[in-house]
Amino acid sequence: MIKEKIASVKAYCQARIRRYFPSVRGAVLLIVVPALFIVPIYFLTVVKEIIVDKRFSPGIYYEKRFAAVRQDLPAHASVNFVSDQQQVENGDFLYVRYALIPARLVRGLQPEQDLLVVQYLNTPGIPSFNGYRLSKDYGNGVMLFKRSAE
Amino acid sequence: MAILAFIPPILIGTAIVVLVFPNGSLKGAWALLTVCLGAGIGLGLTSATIFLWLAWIGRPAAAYLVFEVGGAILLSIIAVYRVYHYQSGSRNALPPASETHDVPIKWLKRLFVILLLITAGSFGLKTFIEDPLGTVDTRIVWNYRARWMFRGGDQWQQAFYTPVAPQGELIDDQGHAPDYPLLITGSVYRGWQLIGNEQVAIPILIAGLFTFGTYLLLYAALALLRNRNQGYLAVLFMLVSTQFMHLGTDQYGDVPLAFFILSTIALFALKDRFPAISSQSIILAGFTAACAAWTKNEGLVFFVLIIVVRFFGQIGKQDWSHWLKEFYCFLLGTLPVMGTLVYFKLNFAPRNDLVNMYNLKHSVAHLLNPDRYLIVISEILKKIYFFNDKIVILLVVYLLFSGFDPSGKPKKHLLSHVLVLLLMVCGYTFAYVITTYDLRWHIDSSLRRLFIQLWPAWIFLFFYSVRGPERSAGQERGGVLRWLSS
Repeated sequence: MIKEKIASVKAYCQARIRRYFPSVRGAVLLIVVPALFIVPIYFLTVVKEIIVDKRFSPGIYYEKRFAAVRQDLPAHASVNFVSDQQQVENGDFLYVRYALIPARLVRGLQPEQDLLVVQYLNTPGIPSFNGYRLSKDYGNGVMLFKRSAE
Repeated sequence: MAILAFIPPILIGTAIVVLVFPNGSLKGAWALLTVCLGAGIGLGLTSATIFLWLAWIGRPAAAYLVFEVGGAILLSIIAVYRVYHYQSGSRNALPPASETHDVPIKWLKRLFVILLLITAGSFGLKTFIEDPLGTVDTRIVWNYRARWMFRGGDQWQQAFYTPVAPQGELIDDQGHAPDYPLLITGSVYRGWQLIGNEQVAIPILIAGLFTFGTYLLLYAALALLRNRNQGYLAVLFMLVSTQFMHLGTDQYGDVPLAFFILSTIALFALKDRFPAISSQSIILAGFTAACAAWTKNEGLVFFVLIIVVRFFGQIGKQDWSHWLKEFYCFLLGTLPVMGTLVYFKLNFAPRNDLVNMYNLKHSVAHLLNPDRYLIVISEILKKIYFFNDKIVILLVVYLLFSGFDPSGKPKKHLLSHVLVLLLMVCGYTFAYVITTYDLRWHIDSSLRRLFIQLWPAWIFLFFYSVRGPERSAGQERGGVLRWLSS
């Protein structure tokens, strides 16, 4: 009884498939149907990420924010870097290091270099660092310090 | 403007493929195969050339442009002449793409084109708008080094600098994987140098070229070896594997490597199928295998495995003169790019972060620890199962319904390709076992990408060996299911 039921369902399915896809075997639909759904859905997901979620990589912002200070850094100089964005883990440092090439970025204040690049996005006011004086405030939380003469 | 930078490498590579395959028809799938292979080989050659120019002569300027464009034009003229000479002669053209079933199913073809265009739209939006700079790997490896080469002036070799602490550990604050080969880095640098500024379009177009080059190469190779419908179906399956496209948009180096692994395996499959073009296919396979090694260190493992399995594994199975001829052809193809890679590794690349003298003691200890093997193998199996939302299940079910191609034509040497890919997985296993990084972190951060390197090649072998999509008499029920129910 069950066997007959299965056979009839199978025959019905085969007839349907043959009617709409006369030239291909049924197994092909195992690939075609997911492709038909997944590829457009992926596209719509990307559109949603851009239009609704406004999800953009921070890389471009880093490039823009640090473009001005890069011009003021001597090529190939080693430069200390301090940031209040430590929650971004390595990401913050790696973005800035990439943006400031050909300067060589040193994480933190040791070993001490003549120049110090500071990124304070969430900390109000101008920070102070022992042995350094502010050379230029570029806005957007980016500042350049130079080692004091004394 | 950025697109113009890609014309010379594509011309150079395509001309080389045409020179090697002058008897190839420049129509349909052959033409697509020629252009796809040519684009990859061209980028491999030009990235090697610009690196050597920078190292030996200095910053590439107008003279380099003249050299490259002149070379492209010269090669193209020679290629056109050679094709004309061949066609006007009495020599036979290549065999037709496929003997049977090469009548495209129209709706399948339309679906293939439409979904490929939608995927191109997704790629464009993700790369040009959402994340033009790519993922972390581009900022710490590929474009980081390209930027040093471009901006670094006389200190461009800082791109390969990795300070080493007294205890031998690598310091994270400088370059990552600085010993990695230069195909992607060199291509990005070359693009920036030629157009004179750092357009984000250059690395994006390189990523796009390899991502869509892989789709089209997969189609072309299967169209030639089986038929066009099988090619459409394989590409549709690749489009369902969205992880591949996703990694392409992230500008990871694994997608270009996947392209070259697929190219090499497809060329060896062409060699097996069409003995008339055996030597030519092997020369090009040499080019693409060398480009794989020039892309990432894993490609170097692939390069060695191809030689071991496809050449040393054949010793005794064929006569020596034939074996030597084939091996000579392969080495001939590898020479330009492998020569550059050896030069780079000996003179510029610092030590590798996994395999080096500092880590030797730890690596040996890890190698003798059976627990690590268990962890790695179980993680690999788990990740294979969960890869791209368990897409492997779809492959298995398709195989159960469809069955293998009954003609048996694809079977020759298929095992050797499968062996190469399985040995690659073994190579990954050993790399994880000896790693000095935290094992879980290392597996979690890289295993998915390693699968992607081999994924198009697996898909190629799968669709090369399974039954085609066309309905024909006596094929109502799939092979394995039919076998099970009989």
